[in-house]
Amino acid sequence: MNRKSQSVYALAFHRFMRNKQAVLGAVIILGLVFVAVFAPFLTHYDPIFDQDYNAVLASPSSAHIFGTDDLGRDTFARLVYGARLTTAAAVLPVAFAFFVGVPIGLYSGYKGGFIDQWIITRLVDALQAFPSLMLALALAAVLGGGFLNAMLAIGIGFLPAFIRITRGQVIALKNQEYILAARSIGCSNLRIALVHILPNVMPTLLVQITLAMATAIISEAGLSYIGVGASPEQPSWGSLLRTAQSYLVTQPWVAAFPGLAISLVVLGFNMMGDGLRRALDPKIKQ
Amino acid sequence: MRVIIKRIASAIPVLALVSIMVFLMLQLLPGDPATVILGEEATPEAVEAMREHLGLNKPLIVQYFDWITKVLQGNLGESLVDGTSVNQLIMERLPATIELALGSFLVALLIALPCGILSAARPNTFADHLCSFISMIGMSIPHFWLGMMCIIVFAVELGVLPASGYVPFFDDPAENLKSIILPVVATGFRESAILMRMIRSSMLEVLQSDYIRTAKAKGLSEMTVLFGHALKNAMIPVITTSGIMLAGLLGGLVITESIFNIPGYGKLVIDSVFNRDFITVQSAILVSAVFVVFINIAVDLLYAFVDPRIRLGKEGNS
Amino acid sequence: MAEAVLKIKNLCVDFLDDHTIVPAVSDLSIDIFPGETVGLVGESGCGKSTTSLAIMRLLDTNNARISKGSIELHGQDLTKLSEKEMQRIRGKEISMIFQEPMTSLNPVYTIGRQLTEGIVLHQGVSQKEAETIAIDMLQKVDIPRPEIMMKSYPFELSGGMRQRVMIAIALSCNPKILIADEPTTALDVTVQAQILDLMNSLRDELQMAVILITHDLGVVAEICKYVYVMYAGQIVETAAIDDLLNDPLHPYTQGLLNSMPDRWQGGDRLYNIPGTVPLPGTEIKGCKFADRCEYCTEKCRQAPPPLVRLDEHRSVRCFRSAGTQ
Repeated sequence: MNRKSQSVYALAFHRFMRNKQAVLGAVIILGLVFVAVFAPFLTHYDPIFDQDYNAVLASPSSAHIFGTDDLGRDTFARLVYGARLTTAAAVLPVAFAFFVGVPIGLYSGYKGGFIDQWIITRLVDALQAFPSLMLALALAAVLGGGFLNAMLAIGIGFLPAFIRITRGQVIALKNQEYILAARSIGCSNLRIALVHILPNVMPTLLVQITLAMATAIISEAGLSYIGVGASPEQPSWGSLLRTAQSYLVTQPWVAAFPGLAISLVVLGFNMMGDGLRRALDPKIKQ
Repeated sequence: MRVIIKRIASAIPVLALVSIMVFLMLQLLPGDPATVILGEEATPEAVEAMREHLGLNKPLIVQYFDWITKVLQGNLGESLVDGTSVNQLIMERLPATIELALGSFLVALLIALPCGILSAARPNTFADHLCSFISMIGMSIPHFWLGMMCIIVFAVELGVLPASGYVPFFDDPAENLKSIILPVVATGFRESAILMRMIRSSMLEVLQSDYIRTAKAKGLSEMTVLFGHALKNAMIPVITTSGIMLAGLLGGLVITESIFNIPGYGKLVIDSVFNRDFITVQSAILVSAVFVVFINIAVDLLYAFVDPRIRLGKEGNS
Repeated sequence: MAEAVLKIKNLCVDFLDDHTIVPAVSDLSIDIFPGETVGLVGESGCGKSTTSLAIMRLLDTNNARISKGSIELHGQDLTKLSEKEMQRIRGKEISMIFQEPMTSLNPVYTIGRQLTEGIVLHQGVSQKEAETIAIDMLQKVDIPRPEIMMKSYPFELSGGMRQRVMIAIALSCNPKILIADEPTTALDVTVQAQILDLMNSLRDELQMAVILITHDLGVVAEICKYVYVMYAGQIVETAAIDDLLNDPLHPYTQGLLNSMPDRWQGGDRLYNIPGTVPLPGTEIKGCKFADRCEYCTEKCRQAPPPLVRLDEHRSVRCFRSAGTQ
C-alpha cells in the first residue's frame, strides 16, 4: 500500500518535472518564500516606520526604486515585506480548511447514514450558498476587520470544497477490495481512514490545496483592498492597492507594482496546481 | 413538472439552514448587541430600549421565529443608521448589481465560447496554446487590479470612458453603457478564464465520443459537427460552472463596485459593514444566499431543458 | 463480372506516437463488388477498425495517417480528396455503422433529427420530404410505429433498436458501400441474428457492397461471401467463405476456427491460440505469427512470408501452406 502510493508520487514527480510550466510555477512560489524569509536582507528600509516626508509619492528613483507612497514609505520595502503577509494569506486559510474540512469529509463519507446525509451535507449546501466575499464581509461586520479575521473568513469559504472532495473520494474508495480487505483483518476505522483512505485522497487534495492558495491570495488582497482585511499600515499587497486607488490619476505606478506582484504569485500557484493535476491524474495525457 | 417540484422542495432545508446561520450571525457579536450598536457611552435606558426594539429579551428560539416570520412576510427590518426600510435599500441597489453581473457573464461567454471551442477543435496547436495562456493570465490577475489598470488607460490616459460612477439605464442608456463597460470587462475577463477551460475540456471529451464519429460518418461538415452535435452536449457540464459563476459574481462584484464607485448591492454591504449597520448586513447576506439557492435551482432546471435524459425522468434521480 | 465499387490497393496506415512511426496496417489490398459482403476478420488490435476508418478518412489526423496506397471508389482515389470532397462521399457513397449502439447516437437529439440530417444534406430535399424518407427508412429496418420513433430520444430505446436506427441512418441515402464495424458484438444473441438478417436482406434490396468487420467467424459465416483474415496489420489469408471454413490454410485461421465453441471437437477444454497479438511497433524480422504458430520453422523466423495467390479468390501468407499446395 505504502509502496504503491510512493511510486505514484515518484511517477508524478517525474511527470511534474517534465512540465516546464509547472516547474516555473514552483520556482515563482519558492521565490515568494525566499523573499518573505529574507525580507530584511533585500531592503534596508522598514516597511512601516521609515517614513520620508521629503519624498511623499515620489516617482521611482535610485533611492526608492519603485517610488514611495503617501506617507513617504518605500514601495519596494513594503512589497518585499508584503511577501510575508501574502505567504501567510496563502497558507492560513487553506490550512484551516484542510485541518477542519478533511476530518469532517473523512468521517462523513466513511460513516454515511444520518449524520452524513442530513447534517453534514446540508450544512455544506447551506455554507455554499453564501458568496465567499459576502461571508467574509459578514464576519468582518460582527468580529471587526483585521488580517486574522479575514484569514478565518476565507478559510470558512473553502470548507465546503474540502469537505465535498474528501467525502466524494471516500465514498468512491470505501467499497474497493483493499479497503474491505483491511476491514476484514480487523483494522480500526480510524486506522483505515488515516492509513488506507487518506493517502488515496491526497493527490486530489494536493491539487485543491494549490489552487485554493491562489484563490486565497486574491481574496486576501481583495479584502484588504476594500479595507476589511489587513490594516492600512500593514504592508499587505491589497492594502498597497487601497492606498494606490486614491492616486490613480497622478501616480499610476503606485498601483502597478503590488498588482504585478499579486498576479505573478497567483500565476505561480495556478501553474503549479495545473502541473500537479496533470502529474497526479493518470487520465490526462500530456 | 415533477422534477421541478422535487428540486424546489429539496431547497427548503438548505434555505432553513441558511436562515439560521444568518440569524446566529448577530449572536457572534462580542458582548451585548445593543451596546455594540449604540456604543459604550450609551445610557442604560437607551440600551434597554434597543434591546426591546431588537427583541433581545426574549429567548433565542422565539427571537428566531419572530425574525423569520417577518422575513417570510417580506419585511427585512429597518436600517440601524437612519431607519429606512432594508427592503427599499436592497431594491434600490439591486438593479446596478444585476446589470453588472449579467454584463460580466456576457463578456465571459463572449470570450470563453469561441476560445474554448477553438482550443478543443484544434488541440495542441498555436491557437490552443495561446488560449490556455490567456486563460492562465485571466485566472491570475486580480480583477480589481485589472479594473484599476483599465481606469488608468481608458479613463485617465485616453479619457474615453468614465473612471467611476453609474448612470441608471433608464436615465440615459448610452451613458449607462459607458459607465459599465470597464467594470464589466474587468470582472468578465477573470470569469472567462475559468469558463474557457471548462468549455475546452468538456468539448474535448465530447469530440472523442462515438456519436461525434457517427456525425462525421454522415458527411456533416466540421462546423455542423462542432456546433450542431458537440456543443449542446458539451454545454451540459458548463451550465453548472456558469451557475456557480453567476452566484459567485454577486460576491465578486463587491470589489468591482468599490473600485468603480458603483452604488450596487456589494457597495451597500461594504458601507453597512463600515457603518456597523448589522441589520442591513444581515438582511443583505440572507438575500444573497437565497439568490444563490435560486440560481442553483434554475441551473438544474436548465439542465433538464438541455438534457432529455433528465427532462423525461430517466437517470435523473440523483 | 461487374466492376469493383471499391478497390483498396497496397494500403498502409501509420500511427504517430511521440514522433515515432508505428505501422498499423501494411500493404492491404481488397476489391469489393456491388451486392456482396466481404468479411474482415481478426482479433482486436489487428488493424480492422483502422482500415475502416481509413476508408472513411476518419482517422485522427493527430496520430494516424495513410502513408501509402490508394482507395479507389469508382476509379476516384479517396486518399487524394480534400476534406470537403470527402464530406460528400461520407454518408452518401460510403456509410458506416459502429459497434456501440448505446453511445453512437447523440443523446440530446431525437432520432428524427439525427436521421433527417443526412438526408437533407445529401439529397437536397426539404425537412418535410426528409421526414417522409426517414419514416420509410425506419419501416425498412422493421421498426414498429416509426412516427413515434422519430420523436424518441436514444436513451428510450433498447440496444437492438438503436442499432436498427443506426442502420437506418447509414442507409438513408442509398450508399454504394456500407462498412459495419462489429455491428452485433454489443447485442444479445437473438437480436444479433435479427440484425444480420436485416443487413442481408437490405444488401440484396439496395444492391450495395458491405464490408463487415468482426472478430467472430460465426457472424462472417452467416452473411459473407469472401473473407479476409487479418493479423497484426496484414492480410494473412483470403478465401471464399466455404473454402475458408472447410479448409483453412493459415495456422492463424485454423486457430480462429478452432476457438469457435461449436466447431471444436478436441476435448473438454475450449481451444485458444497461445500468446497474444504483438503490439504495433514490435520489430519482427520473419512471420508475424511465428511466436504463436505450432508449425513455426527456422525459415519463418528469417524472412516474412509473402502473400501468395493460389487461385482467383484464394491467397495465403504462409510458407507452409503456400508450399504444400
